[in-house]
Amino acid sequence: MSSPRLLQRRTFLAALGLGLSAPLALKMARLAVADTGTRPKRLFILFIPHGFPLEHFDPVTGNGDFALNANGIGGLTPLEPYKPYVTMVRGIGMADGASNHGAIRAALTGFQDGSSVDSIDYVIAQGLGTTAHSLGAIPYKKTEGFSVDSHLMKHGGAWVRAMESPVDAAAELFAGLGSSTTSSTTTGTMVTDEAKFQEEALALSEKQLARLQSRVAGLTTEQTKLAIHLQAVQALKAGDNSGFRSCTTAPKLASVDALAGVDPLDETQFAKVFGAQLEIAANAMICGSGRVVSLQALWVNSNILMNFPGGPGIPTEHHIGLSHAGIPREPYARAQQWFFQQLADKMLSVLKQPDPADMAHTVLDNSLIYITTEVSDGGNHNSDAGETWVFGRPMYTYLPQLLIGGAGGYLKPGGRAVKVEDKRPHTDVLATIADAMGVPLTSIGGKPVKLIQELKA
Amino acid sequence: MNRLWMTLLPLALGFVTGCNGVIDSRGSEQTGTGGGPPTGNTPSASDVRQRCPESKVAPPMLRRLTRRELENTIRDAFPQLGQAWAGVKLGPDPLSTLKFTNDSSALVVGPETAKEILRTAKDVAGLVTGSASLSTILPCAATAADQACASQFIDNVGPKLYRRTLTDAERSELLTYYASVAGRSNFAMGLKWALISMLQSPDVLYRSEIGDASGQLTPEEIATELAYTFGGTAPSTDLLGKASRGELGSADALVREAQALQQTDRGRETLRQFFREWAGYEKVLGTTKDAVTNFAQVQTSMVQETQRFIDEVVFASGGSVKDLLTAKYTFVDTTLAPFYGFGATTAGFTRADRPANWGMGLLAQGSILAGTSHPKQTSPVFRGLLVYAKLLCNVPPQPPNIVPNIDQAPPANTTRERYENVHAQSSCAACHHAFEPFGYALEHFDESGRYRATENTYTINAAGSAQLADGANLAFDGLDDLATKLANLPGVTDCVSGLLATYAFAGGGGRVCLAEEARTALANGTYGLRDFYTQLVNAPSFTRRAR
Repeated sequence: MSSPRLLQRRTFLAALGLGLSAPLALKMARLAVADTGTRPKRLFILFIPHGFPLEHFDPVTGNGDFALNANGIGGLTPLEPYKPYVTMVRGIGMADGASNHGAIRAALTGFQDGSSVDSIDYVIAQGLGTTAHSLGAIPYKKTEGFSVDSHLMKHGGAWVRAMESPVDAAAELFAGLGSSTTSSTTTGTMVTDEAKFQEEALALSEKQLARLQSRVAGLTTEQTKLAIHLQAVQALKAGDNSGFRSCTTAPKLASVDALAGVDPLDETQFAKVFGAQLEIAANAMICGSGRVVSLQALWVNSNILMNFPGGPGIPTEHHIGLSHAGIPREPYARAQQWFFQQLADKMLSVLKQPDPADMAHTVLDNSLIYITTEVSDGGNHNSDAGETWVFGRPMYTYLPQLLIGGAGGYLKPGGRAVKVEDKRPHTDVLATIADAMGVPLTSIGGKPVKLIQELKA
Repeated sequence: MNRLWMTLLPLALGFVTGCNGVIDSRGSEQTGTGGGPPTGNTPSASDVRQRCPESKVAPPMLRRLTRRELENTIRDAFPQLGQAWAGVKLGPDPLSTLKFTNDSSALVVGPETAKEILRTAKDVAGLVTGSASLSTILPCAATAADQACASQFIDNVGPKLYRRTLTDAERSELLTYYASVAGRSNFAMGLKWALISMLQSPDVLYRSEIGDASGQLTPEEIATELAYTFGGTAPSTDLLGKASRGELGSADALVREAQALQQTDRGRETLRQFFREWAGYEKVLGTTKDAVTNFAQVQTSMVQETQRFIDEVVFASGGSVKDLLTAKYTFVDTTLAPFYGFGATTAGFTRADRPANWGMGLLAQGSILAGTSHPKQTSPVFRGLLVYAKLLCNVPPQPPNIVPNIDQAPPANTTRERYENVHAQSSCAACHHAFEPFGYALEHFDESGRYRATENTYTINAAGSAQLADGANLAFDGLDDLATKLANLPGVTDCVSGLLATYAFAGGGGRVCLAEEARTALANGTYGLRDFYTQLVNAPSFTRRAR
């Protein structure tokens, strides 16, 4: 085994080899020998709507072995190269009795209607002093817009519309890296820092909000509204100065450049938008500029036709035609499998590289990728676990909770399924994720939570 | 077992057991409000249907500008922007429980919106203070770019954005910030960031409907309410002047201003937006029809048809809810006329009378009929729910867990038969009998909105009956009969007027009973829908707030 000193030297040289500056490389080298508690962890949450046909996705064979292709078409097969990182938690049910598609609002908050609880990505980001970035591949019907069917992430008391545009997402996630996003202007002999002006303008907004709050004293609803606004302005002002930065310039992503001027709400662009958002998230995780990133794919009841260019080639609506289709459900399975293929191709393949902030490990070792949905079985619409009668036959269903990555040494190696007691609330998974990220929680929204000890290393 | 329990038991069983057959394949709350939580503090549809002995007053509110209101406000303040500005960077406004995008309780500035507002402010300020336009917008910038010139800019622009005169403290704050930035850079940069600060100000982003200590809205608040409710944008300098001179103090003056504002293009668009969101007729744009090969060529025309139909009934004819439901004409263009099989036109849209028994009014619009159908067939469920929720203001029940695909139901001669067969079991019927019959009445129109005498060579049965909220039974046979009977139901006018008042008052802060006098006048034929809308200025909530 390498001594810490040797590892530090090797990491330093490797970092220099990556073209990083000597001071940064030195910093990385120091981080490389840090213990798991200080390893540079990243969290990525992916929401895919309409559940899964578990006869194609349950990764447990008849004799109890873990295999990504254990059943049906083997919906999780695209993850095969990363199998040692993959853990399926079986037996989970949606907390707070949330069920059916409305459970999207509980998926990350733990409560049926979201209640007054922020989503777990925000809670974790707040705990880490970083920003919760919300990306979306959400081709809303322009006539329908942002409705309760899209409410997944809740930040500072408000449901968050994920950034639909990869161009905007890249600008946000790589802000402050390289010349493309640093807004400095030469005026005569003076160099002005517009970032400073922005901070001052936001400070003025804070003052104005405080003044307006005093005008609505005693009006709870309006005060809450302004409190949400104030928190948003404060977050914008604070920016994201936490943690590490492993890049000095923003990565050049062709997939993002290709979408300049393209309407991200155009359904025919869905594959490109989803892929670009995955790439942005992956690169931001590598750079450390995105330590908590969520990606919302579609929304519940979305009826996008799954034959968009670059898609699975299924000319059927995702919700009506596929998730509600009866047995056999191979087309539905193939549609959901497509998302995992994209995840593998656009994100996992990128994250398998050495972590520039911890060269002793890969970024995937130091990341936790959480994939969730709102219903256990898309056809049955239950969001709990247990034997269920689905399309005329009994089936064991559970709310699929997939974890990928090592979470900086927090998780036991993957390639396994962890069975918990049926209907254990998914808030225990959320709490375990928060704990893995270094944000221990004893309750969510006032309800006690317990860590899933079987997941921990 | 007592009578009440006997009535409730089947309903209760329906909810407990769910429907184990086919309800419809969309499931969940897409078609109504039953399954979803309130997006904000909005009354439910059944709340707004109710009538009250007298109007009440809404609580004080801050109403965040909608996407469209913000864009119009900025364009009015800086008409020079023109095409150079691509528009606000805000995404879609959130939908309320009633599916409106202007609900005060849902319109908040969360993290994403704050970022988008900042981006918008930067875009606008960059263009306004750019070398190409600054001297046009602010001539002194070319001759004397100094503090006095900046002060002039703030004095010119401030009232247009803030909808009132800036206080000395606000003015001083902005000038100090300008000077601080300009001192570290230059005049244009100072002005740019002062403008960014203004555009981000909560005093710009929220319409104040707070009022004074007694609850009376200030003249400037009333001018602002008038301008946005009826004109879709900020009050003009002229209107603000009238407010400051106390010329908006009478009911007549308010009605006069509301009517004038509604005649503007943006004013019409503001009322159109209600009908668009209430009827959901643009949903047709997102639908496909498997067996109708040229459907894609008529979707956009269908939306235009409905908009022209509403324009004619509401604006040109000053029609009522009854007219909206029973008008025997529509508008067709060169693609729609042959598609529907009636009317003739050489170019553009022309008014065409419908053939006898080929439908009438809003329910017969192709956009409505096709937008509430499946790709392969009609949906008596969606069509029934449209009548049930949007015209009768009932709250649809929560769909059960198992909602399999209707396409997999056993074959039947007609769509109606298929639905009736699978919904015959009591657990389904408990809910479906309340709304599905309304959908049967529309079965003479196929999934793309075209009239059909038969389906699969079988005779269409468009007869049905359903129980109304007051317990009365409504029997009907076909769309024309249903539309005529609905048009004569007081509950339908109550429903539509309640929703329109809720829309005008942005959810009313959760309060109902906001404009009872105007609703009565609409119901008794004194007002048409357009008049009803402008007469809302006489509702107590238009000028006062509860204290």
